[in-house]
Amino acid sequence: MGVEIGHYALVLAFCTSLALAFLPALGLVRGRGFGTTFAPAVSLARPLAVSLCVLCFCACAMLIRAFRASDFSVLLVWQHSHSQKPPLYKIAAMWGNHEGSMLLWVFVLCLFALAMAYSQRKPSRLTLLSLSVQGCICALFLAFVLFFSNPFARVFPVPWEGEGLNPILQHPALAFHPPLLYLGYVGLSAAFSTTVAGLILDDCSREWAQKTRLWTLVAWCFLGAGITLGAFWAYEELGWGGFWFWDPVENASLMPWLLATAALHALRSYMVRQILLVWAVLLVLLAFSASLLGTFLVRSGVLMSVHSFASDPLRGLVILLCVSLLTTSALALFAWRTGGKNTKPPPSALPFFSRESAQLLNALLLSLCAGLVLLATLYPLFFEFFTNRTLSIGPPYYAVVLSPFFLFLLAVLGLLPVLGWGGSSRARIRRHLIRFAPVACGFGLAFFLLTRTSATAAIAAALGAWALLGAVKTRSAKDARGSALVHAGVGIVVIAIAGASLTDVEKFRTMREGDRVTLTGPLFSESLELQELFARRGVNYTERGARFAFVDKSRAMLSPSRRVYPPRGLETTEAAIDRSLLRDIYVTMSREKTRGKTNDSEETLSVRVQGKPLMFWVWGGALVMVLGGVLSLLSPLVTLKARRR
Amino acid sequence: MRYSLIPLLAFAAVVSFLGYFFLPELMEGKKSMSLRRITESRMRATPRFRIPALAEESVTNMAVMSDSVLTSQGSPFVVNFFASWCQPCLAEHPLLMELSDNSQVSVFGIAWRDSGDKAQTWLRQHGNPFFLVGVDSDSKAGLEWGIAGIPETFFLDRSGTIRFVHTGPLTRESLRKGLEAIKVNPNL
Amino acid sequence: MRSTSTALALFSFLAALATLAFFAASGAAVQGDVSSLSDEALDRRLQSLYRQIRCPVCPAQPISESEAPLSRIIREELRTQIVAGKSEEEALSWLVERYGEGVLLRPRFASAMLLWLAPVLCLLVALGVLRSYLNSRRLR
Repeated sequence: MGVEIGHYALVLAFCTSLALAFLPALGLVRGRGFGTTFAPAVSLARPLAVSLCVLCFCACAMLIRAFRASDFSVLLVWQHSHSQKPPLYKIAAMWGNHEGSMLLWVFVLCLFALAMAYSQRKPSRLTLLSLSVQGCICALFLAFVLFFSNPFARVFPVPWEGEGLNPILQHPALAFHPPLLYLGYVGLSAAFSTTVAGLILDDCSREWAQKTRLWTLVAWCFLGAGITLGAFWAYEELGWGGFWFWDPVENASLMPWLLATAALHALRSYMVRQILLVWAVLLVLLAFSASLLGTFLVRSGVLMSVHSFASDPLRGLVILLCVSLLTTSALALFAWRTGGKNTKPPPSALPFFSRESAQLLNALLLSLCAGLVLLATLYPLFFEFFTNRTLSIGPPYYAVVLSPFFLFLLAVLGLLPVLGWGGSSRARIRRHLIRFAPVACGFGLAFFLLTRTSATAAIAAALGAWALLGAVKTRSAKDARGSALVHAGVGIVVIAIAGASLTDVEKFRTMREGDRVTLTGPLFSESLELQELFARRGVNYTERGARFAFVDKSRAMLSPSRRVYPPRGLETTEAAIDRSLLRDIYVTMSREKTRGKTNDSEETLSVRVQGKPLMFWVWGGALVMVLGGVLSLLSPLVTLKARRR
Repeated sequence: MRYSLIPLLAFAAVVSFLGYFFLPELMEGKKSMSLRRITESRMRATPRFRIPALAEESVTNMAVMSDSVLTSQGSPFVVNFFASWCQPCLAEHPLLMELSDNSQVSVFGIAWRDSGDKAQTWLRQHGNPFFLVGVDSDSKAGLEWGIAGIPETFFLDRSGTIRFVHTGPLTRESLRKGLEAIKVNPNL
Repeated sequence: MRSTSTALALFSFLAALATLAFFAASGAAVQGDVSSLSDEALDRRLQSLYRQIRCPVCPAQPISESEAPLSRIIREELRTQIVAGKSEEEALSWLVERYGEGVLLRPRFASAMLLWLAPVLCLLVALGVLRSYLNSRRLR
């Protein structure tokens, strides 16, 4: 019964979204002098947004309820849940599949519509029109959900038990990863709607900039948190020791983030110095378009990935149509409105070493990076289509190709304290270089000497330190503290990645009980002793593992294991991780088990031990970045009035 | 020049390509192009290899299987990688037995990562469709053929060029496609 | 650095140099005699070779991480070849001949020219746009 209510709520939500899409817009047009027929419609905007959100919430709640109650008469619940799943994961299963996550997607759209409706005491024209645009987007996707991926489909006869019991997916990080990610991804729609409304009204000025900045920043924070959580889950659960694989689905979430970062910088430039307006508008539009394109890529089955949902070509085509409709109309509007437009140029000539130049470089390079990621993600597809041969593009490619861009940006980041708007004095730059460049270089050199592995890691570490120093030195006004924190976070993450990914050490060993393995890396040297092998039964699995103790008894024991889950014989690797500020020790067991001739004491274990320097700071730095974003949100927004020089 | 048109045109290009890519899939119901086995579309000559053969199980009593043995017999041929420990191989076995009756094509088998004895027992138990059975216990031949797993079946034409590869247990459909690729009438 | 153009030119030159250096440093195929290396160093070099090869049967793993039997077989074969004196390029070509180009995680230049030229083009475009922007501001 609840499921039918949910379905009905969804239909009502669709109608409401259509009303939201048209009424406020009509109210704006008619009320202007053609009579007051539709003017009252304007006052409907808020109630419509509220009802839309409530109805969507109702639909989601009913679906979650079906999952929580293990109602296997619902097709989705049968396919993706199981009565033995712990309650948290039953709920998380609601968004662990295409239809459910699409419903969540739409709900976030409605949530942002609500936020937009109440963001001002009295909604302005811009806000009302943005609500209309947001309503359009909601209507489009609600139609998609209703007609092409209905989550409320029933199955008959009702099965006794569900089929979804993939243990890898039962992890707290993964439970929260999609909602956070969607709040980011889909949250960019608010900025998109505001920008489209601004383009329609031909009024992209102070109010537009403030609102767009707000929404982009909110989405940016959530997206960053979502991406980090996803990487964290991959690190913990997948047992390979890596956290980023340049998988198409990961790329689909990275591209909007890069574009949103570029957009934020361009927006800030506009608000402070009235430059880069066209770039700001374009980047906001592209950021949400990247989200949409990403949604398409992930759900259409065009690209295969460990994360992708089961796909259906018709559904993929429909999503593509929705995506193209929204994006091409927005970009066409952009081309129409900005042909020949120019913002007021600053009064003096612009030297190369100026903040404006840095901002533009930032916007350009980040968007180009996003473009390159898109190219590399889609290229295998092009290639196979035209030449009938296959091609793989993996981490080695991305690392080589994207690094130069990021390193340049880091170099610029470090110079930020001395780059002023309109130019900066050579003397200041020289002084800054003389003071800090040696420190950064020294850091890089120390890195190289300690690890003795790769020059690229040392370069990355040096530039990360350079950026960090620059961020720390930034003596900025209150409203820029957030960005200083974010930049510091960037530096930290770069140094941490230089450590964890480029200078990690590992050993493969076949060990017996009592054997020891020593891992030596920069700043650490650990010996592990295999104390015992064990086998046990868990709640819904059998487990075979080993217990390792640190020889100097300084830390807790590590117990890597392998688990087999009965229903389908699914085997997973449980890695044992010892974390500290300086390094992570990552121990995994390999699949093969060799047994000695006669007795158990001869049993050996194939083990892989990895030492990852500074791994903790990958998460720490990312957290600092997100906190910086939040701080920026809380700081008073930069106004053009306050900053005029 | 209106630079502001560039984003629109670029996006339209990407989207049209993706759409164009989709339509055939939709029309024919073909499976998505991704995750195809990476060797599927490469044509090449018979890989060079040399492995011992099960003399008792072969028609000709040969003790060695190599690429020259395969190409010298002059007709199109099929090479099937199997093993006694492989469950899906059992599923496709009846099709292979049927294929062995087709006089236009010779069927060869290679037991991958398996011992000669076990393979022999398995074939005696389930029937032997193979003209000659090679034993590739250390997977050297497997690597030469670019094998991804078993069962895997290669279809080679008269000149010894690989024309079609099927990974996984053979189905009637894939068998038909493979035989057509090497210009053998499937219906005999 | 007297003018914007000079600064820009110098910056572009350094950028190009740095990019080349980076490409060279990270892309350098390891040559040389393996027999003189210790076990550890050999392992490390082999691991970096394995990281460039995709496991043919796994969805998205390099053979350095994959546990599939085929990965192990390929790793052992490559190890044998490298220890016997073959260079990394030769070993990779050997593998590509049998498994197709899709087995390499870093596509070869000849097959994917656009992919390798695109970043360079992007950088040039970026610098070009920056230059025209800065110059446009000079004329008042």
